Amino acid sequence: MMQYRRYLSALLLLPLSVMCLLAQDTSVREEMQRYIGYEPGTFKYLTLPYDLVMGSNVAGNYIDIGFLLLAMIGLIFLSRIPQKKWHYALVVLGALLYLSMSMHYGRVSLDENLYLSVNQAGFSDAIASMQQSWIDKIVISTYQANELVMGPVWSFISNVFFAVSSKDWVTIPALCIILLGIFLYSNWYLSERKKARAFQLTLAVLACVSFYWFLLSAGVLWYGFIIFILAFLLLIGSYSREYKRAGWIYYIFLAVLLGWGFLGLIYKTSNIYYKSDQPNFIVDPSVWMYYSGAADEDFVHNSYNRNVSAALTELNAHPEAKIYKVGTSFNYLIDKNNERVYEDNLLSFFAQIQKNFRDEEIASVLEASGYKYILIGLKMWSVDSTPEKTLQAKFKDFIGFVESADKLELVATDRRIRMPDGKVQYGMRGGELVDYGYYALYRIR
Amino acid sequence: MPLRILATFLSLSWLLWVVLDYFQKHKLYAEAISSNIYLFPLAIALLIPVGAWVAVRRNPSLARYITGASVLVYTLGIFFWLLLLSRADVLVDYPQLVLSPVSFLLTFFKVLCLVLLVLLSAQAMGAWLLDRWTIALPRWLLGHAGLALGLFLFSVLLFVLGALHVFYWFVLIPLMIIPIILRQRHLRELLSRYLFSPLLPKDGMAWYGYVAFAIAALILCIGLAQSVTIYPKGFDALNFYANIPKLTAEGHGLVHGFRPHAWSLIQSIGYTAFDSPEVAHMLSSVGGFLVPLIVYYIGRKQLGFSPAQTFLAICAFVTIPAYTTQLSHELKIDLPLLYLQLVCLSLLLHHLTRGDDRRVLYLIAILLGFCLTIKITSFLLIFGLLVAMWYREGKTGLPMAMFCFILSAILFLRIDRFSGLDYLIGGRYIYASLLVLIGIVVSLNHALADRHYILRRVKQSILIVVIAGAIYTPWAVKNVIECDSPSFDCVLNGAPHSLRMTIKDLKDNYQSSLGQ
Repeated sequence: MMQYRRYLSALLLLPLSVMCLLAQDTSVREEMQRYIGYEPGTFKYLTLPYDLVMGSNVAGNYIDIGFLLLAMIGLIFLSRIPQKKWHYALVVLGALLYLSMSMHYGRVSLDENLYLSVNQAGFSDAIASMQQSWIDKIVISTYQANELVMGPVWSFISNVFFAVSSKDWVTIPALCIILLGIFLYSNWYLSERKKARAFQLTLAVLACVSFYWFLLSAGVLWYGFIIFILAFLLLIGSYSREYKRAGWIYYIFLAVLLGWGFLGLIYKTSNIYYKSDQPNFIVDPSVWMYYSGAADEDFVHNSYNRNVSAALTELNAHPEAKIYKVGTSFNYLIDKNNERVYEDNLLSFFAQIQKNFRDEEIASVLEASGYKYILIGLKMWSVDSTPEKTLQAKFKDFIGFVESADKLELVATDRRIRMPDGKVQYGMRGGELVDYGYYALYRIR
Repeated sequence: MPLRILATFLSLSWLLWVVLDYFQKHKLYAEAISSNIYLFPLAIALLIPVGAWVAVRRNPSLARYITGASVLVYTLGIFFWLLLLSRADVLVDYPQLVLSPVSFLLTFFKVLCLVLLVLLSAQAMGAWLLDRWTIALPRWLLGHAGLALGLFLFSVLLFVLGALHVFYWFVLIPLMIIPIILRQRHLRELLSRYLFSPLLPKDGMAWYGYVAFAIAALILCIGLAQSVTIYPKGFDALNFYANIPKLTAEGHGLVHGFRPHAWSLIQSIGYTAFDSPEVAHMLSSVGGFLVPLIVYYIGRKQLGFSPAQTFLAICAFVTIPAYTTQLSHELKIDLPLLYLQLVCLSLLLHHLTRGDDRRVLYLIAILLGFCLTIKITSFLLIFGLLVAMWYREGKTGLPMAMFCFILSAILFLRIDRFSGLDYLIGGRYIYASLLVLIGIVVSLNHALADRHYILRRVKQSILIVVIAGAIYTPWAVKNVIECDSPSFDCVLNGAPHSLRMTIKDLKDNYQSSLGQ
């Protein structure tokens, strides 16, 4: 009894003691917080597991953890019937509410690069112009139905708790209460089943690292890799032991696991991110050719970023010239890059420059400080998932400056345009856009 | 019964929904299946373990040929499949590629041997120190602890050499060869254990264990092969993780700026000693190969799971795209770091379940410090391990107290800024103090009942934090020296790694250019 009184006092004191406010710097918000999402307050944490699995916040294979963990948790929790029926009813209700909340704040995919929320303006027009598969039809209509029924409820809750966006009084205490709940539940679960001490300790590590990861890592998956391997190990190990005789649910569990494994193997061997005219071999053909002596380094570089060797040749021929770099991943390819590259990947510094100098002056200002080149990642704006689109606005301003500056001349780009005479060539303007491209290198004259 | 049917329906509906929603948002899987030219060989590759299981079931005397196979046999078998997977029939249509897989495989084996040389050298060094230390650990854990400790010693030596700017091949190669020569007997034993002893257990392997093993082994080998490249494809690899080793080698020593990067120093051996970017890249990828090895032992020996269950968990983890991408495309330091973190966890489990041994605790603290010097986000694991250390069967009060202490430390030190969630509370320190108070009240409550236990844990927690902090200190000093204005941020994040520029500089330079 004393024990529980202590928990209760901790439970009451924690929310009181950690009432916090959130502050947001735009570059951190643009770059780091895109992984955790921009839902109001506590919702961004609560929906994180679902968002992470579905890739709702940031999509890409480097952030894809597959569906197994989420699917398994449901399979395990929902297939077990506790002794008290209302416990079961609570679990089911909780699962449904969780799903509904995640869908309200989640997005659906229109194509592999375009994700939209169902309550976003222009959603209906966007799906009307999209060719929908049967999966699209089922998923999108379920999201729309959820929005119709539960959307107002979630919006109401959000408005009540997070109406003052800069004063979040709920998130940290709520997360503390959740951790306390997990601790108490795990303790009860372990004492019921008399698990080995190593199992208990591993579970304790998993719970705590997960909590701190949720709180501190802004949803960056690889900071918490250890969570996922431990979760797989404990879930699969204990589930397959407990449920071995549970009949066909167990075999479905096995089939899903092995099916996923085989799918993962197919995904890995398909090498779909390497685009070339050849079939998708396991190893990129340009790399193969390099090691057989049939190709040189430039060939390999160009196979990943078209025409990049033109830019690299220019940059590496002038090792003393400074480079103002906005986006792109070319550091590794630029000699002495730590001594001569200034990185302004989120254009924070450029915004300051614009405040202090006129657009016509900026190129001369940079030149006066020894800068000879401006290297631009043409798609750097695409990392911007903020609702306010602050990075996109900054990029628009920046490109406006680049295109209007007389002192800048284009050295190389992989953007392709069709000229009025029908010829397709590398360039930034003057014709119809054929390929948006990844980079552009300008020289200050 | 109706509830049973309802439960089955609900769990299957959940599963179906999650799968449908996932594939709606991951359309590339459909493309991956339709464009994959290896579907048939892959299916055959997975039928082999099932066939082996059936054969053993029918004729148990065959078991010794299958479960007795060593890693070497499996590795050779897998590379046979890799060769086959290269689809000679399709290659025929591309004359420029037809001989490429052979020359690529030769390069691959050369790089693999050089990476093994680095790892063996580290293992020899670590094992030597553990011998002197006479730490009693199970043989499997001793092997991993030796490797982890050796890598740490390597990183310390490299830091010193880097600070002196004597990163040259004629310094590094003897440094690697000497431990191997001195500990050749130990290494022979180690190699024979890992390469020639039976890998799979004789009993307890269900059919799905074989399949899971085959999938995991195949995907890891493919990942390792794909890491052999002169062009690391990941954004962060190109800007940081492959860039730092290259810059370190170019400058023959530590580079200015960047966060602490102990693993990058180890990777830079690839450039400095062997003039090979591929070795540097594979030193990142090889972490992904070591992770399943330690997970297998944690699952089997410490958590008591069957081999099949453990292989299933490994297979589920290593097939997630986030892992396979790190293995061959992103080439960051997160997989070697994960391996070291798992060694720490395994040592802690050993320490807490097999009786307290202060030397094991020292080892854990050193390795945790090493993890911090690889990536500062390892403090998340340190927090988790500290809380777990206070966990006693059936009692959650003490870990909750530890949790309060750590949360208050986060608020005091403003570590929450890492996440971009900087709290604006004026009363930050008041709330943090309150948390400390709660922690003290709860732990004192327990202390009255078990004073010795609490005191021991307090000492151990302090020991871990102090030793890990001490290991981090050289990097902190480097960071502070390089920063113009030392701060806590600077201690953690280091000086800016690219050029510095201020508006004032720009104005001054512009004014002078106008004056000219």
